[in-house]
Amino acid sequence: MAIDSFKFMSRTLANSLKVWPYVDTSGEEIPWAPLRKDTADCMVALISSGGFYCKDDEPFDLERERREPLWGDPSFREIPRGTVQDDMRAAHLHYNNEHPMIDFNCMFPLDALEDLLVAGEIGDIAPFHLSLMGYQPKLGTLVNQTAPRMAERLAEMGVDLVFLSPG
Amino acid sequence: MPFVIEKIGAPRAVAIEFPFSMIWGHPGDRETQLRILRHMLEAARTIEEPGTIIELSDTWPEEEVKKRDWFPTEPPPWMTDQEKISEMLAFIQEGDPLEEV
Repeated sequence: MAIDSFKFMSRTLANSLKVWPYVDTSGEEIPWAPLRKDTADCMVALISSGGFYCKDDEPFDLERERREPLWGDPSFREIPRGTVQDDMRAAHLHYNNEHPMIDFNCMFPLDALEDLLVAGEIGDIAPFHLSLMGYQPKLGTLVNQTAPRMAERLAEMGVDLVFLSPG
Repeated sequence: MPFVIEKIGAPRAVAIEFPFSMIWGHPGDRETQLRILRHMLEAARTIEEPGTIIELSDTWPEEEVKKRDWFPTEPPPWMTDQEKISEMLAFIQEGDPLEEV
């Protein structure tokens, strides 16, 4: 492993994540969903945990997190294909939101995905991409309610391939 | 973060050593965004072993590492005072990561 996973973190955060109580999957097989089509025929969607939402939609609840720092908003938002910079917002207290407010593609590369479609390297793009807010110390609601609903939504749209981007 | 990817057992991953707020490169750098997407497409096509992580060789410019401009503009709530830090440490030591909220 050449990449330093902690290079860009404060020492406090890095030390916390090194001993974090991750969900123990050590006794389980890693899940595997084979890709059933050529990538050039796939409908693709992006999911970002960067806390993105459209300006007319409800922001992720940062005020509650400020009051209850072990709580993170476990909901998700739909981002319509073709959303432009002026309509995109980010609500996430754990990275500098200013960069994606200059160009959301530096966290959520929706426009570059359109380039892949034009180049014929993917078959289609989902009508909606999805975003959640990645600060989730307690994962139960996300794992048991939000993630299954997100998966259902992707299936409803006929998505073949999803790229997840951290935030 | 390969460290976390390995811990949670993600089936396929592409990793890059870029900072949080610019994980796909600098704002406006469409070329880098596109190149990373192409690596992800290739990963989808070629990874056959669950748990495989493809590490890209890109590095963040050293002169920009000193800027530390990816940090949030306000401290994260759990780091704002000693009581909140203690709550977090107690969660790390004894908490249930699958607790519902």
